[in-house]
Amino acid sequence: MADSTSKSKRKILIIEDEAEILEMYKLYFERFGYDVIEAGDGQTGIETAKSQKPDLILLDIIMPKVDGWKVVEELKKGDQTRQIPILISSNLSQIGEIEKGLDLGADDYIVKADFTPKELIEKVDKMIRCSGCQKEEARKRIVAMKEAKDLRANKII
Amino acid sequence: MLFLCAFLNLLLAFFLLQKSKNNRKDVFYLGITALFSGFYAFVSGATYFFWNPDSSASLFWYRLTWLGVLMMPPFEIFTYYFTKNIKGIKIKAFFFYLGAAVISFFALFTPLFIKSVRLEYPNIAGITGPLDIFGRLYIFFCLIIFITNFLKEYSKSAAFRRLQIKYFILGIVIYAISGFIFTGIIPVVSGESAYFDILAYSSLIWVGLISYAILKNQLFDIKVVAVELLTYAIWIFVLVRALLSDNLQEGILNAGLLVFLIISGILLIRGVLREVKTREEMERLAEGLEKANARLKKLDEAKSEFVSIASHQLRTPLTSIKGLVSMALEDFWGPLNENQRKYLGQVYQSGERLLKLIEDLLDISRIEAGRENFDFQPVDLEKIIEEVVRDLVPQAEKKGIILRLAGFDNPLLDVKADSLKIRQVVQNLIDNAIKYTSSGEITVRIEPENNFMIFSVKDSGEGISKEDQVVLFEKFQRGKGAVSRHTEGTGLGLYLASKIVDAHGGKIWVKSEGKGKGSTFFFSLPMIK
Repeated sequence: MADSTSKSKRKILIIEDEAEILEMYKLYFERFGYDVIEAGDGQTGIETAKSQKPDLILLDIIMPKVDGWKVVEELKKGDQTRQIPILISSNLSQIGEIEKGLDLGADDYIVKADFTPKELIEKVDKMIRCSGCQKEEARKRIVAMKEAKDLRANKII
Repeated sequence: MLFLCAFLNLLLAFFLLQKSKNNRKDVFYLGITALFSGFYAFVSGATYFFWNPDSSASLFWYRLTWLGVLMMPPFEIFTYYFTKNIKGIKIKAFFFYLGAAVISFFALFTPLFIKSVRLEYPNIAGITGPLDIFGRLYIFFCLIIFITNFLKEYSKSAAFRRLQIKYFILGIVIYAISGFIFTGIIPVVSGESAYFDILAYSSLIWVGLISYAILKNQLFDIKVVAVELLTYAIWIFVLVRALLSDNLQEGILNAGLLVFLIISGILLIRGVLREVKTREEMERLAEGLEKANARLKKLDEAKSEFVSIASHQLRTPLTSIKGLVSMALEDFWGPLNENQRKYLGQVYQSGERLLKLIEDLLDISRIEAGRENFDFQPVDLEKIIEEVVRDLVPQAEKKGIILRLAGFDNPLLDVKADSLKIRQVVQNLIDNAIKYTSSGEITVRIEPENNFMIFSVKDSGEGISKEDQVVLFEKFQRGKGAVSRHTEGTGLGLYLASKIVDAHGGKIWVKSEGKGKGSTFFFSLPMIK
């Protein structure tokens, strides 16, 4: 569980076009001490990421106009945004889609409906802690996950 | 000569019209065309036959010839439109026909089209009236429409019909062009219709071309035509012989022969007809099959795309339902009372089940579409089974059931399998056993038999009736008892398991002595040789 009394507030950018889901995550993340920035579509998401430099980006895929794939591509191209960890959270669950996300440079991929907000925040906490210190481990996990070719393995870890 | 031409045309018309009974429109048009050509040639012939220095009688015949020419193209358009069941198009057809009637009326009864005739034996030359040019343009217009209509149909037709339509159009075009030149251009240029009878002769080309089409492309089968002609000829021959018999004895003999020939002839024609019909039908079916196949492939792709998108769409609202309920259950908005906790818990469980169902559906659609990639590797079955059993022991203990893994007697041989998929099957079978057993024990076993490794789960549960055993592995089938006593389960688990085992070249089956006597589920995987 996130520690709400941590030194500096963690900043998370949620790019999500479903208003209800966005509201739910915002509520939950804020309760546990996160600074939540919202973006309702891909284009706004890219701009906000550049200007706000969040600690992590939670990214949906199916969005109008600029979709999540494009967002990952753009952000991993830019020098200032490349190091921001991206967690794709989409209800697309085919192995090909997961692989595509990781190949484009996302740091992890989860099936949105499989995760409750609590499980999600645990995952996000882990990733933020990891991004500086244990990047290598994260990479290994992705490789393992790709080898397993199954998202369920992701949940077990 | 013109009478012969007329006779041939009329014969062809009769033949074609008779053939067109079984709803073949193109043949019907041919028949109509031949009929008019025949009429035209006949009247032309009559004009000569009743050669009369009285120019008014000749004028009458001459005008009558024009009736044939003027009525034919519009009539074909009329019938073409009329046989199409498209709203509004019938009115169009009436206008064409009305136009034809009006023009014909003028052609026949007023000097506006044909002023008079000039008699120069053996020719009759018409002196054209002022409206003559409109009549010709009208015919030309009709022909253009008629041909374009068929060209349109051509592009929509199946290959074997295309050939027929091609010859049909070619015939019409040649006929129309010769008509256009000899009765359309030359008379207008020269001011008189001295060449009109050439059109009648050109209808012979038309007859010839149709015959060629029949021979070459089975517009209708030559076999039938030949058999019919031969049979009729023999009948007539024998009939004539019977009538011309010298004595009664010979006459009776010939009459008997005739009866015999008539019966056998009819049988012969019928047989040939049936054969031809069968062949045409088969050609049509083959073509239909090819098309259906292509369409199925497309549909299949669309289906799997649809399932992917649909599962995405179904999960989206479930994300909110599951997320928000889980938050409520965490006392996110304050503590819950006992009932709230209990029933929200049920909402959460239902949501989870729905997600599982969606996942299973997606799996199945992938496997059914042959899109699932199985990753076959030598796997350690023993390890997989041990792990799954270990995971599920707590669940069994909760229900007071003993979940036991029988020791492996023989050293186990490797099998080639997709470890994740096989784990799914093992898990599903043990999970089911726990679900449908209320007391007693469950034994998991694995042993080699012939060239297969046989996995089995034996439970002391409810057992499965013989009827249920048959359908158990089908999609959306659950044991009758299972439905009434257990609400969970998607009805897809065993189906999915059977699909996975199938893909491994194994088999899945169940044994149960019946209700209350427990059941044992088996699956087999081929061993590596």
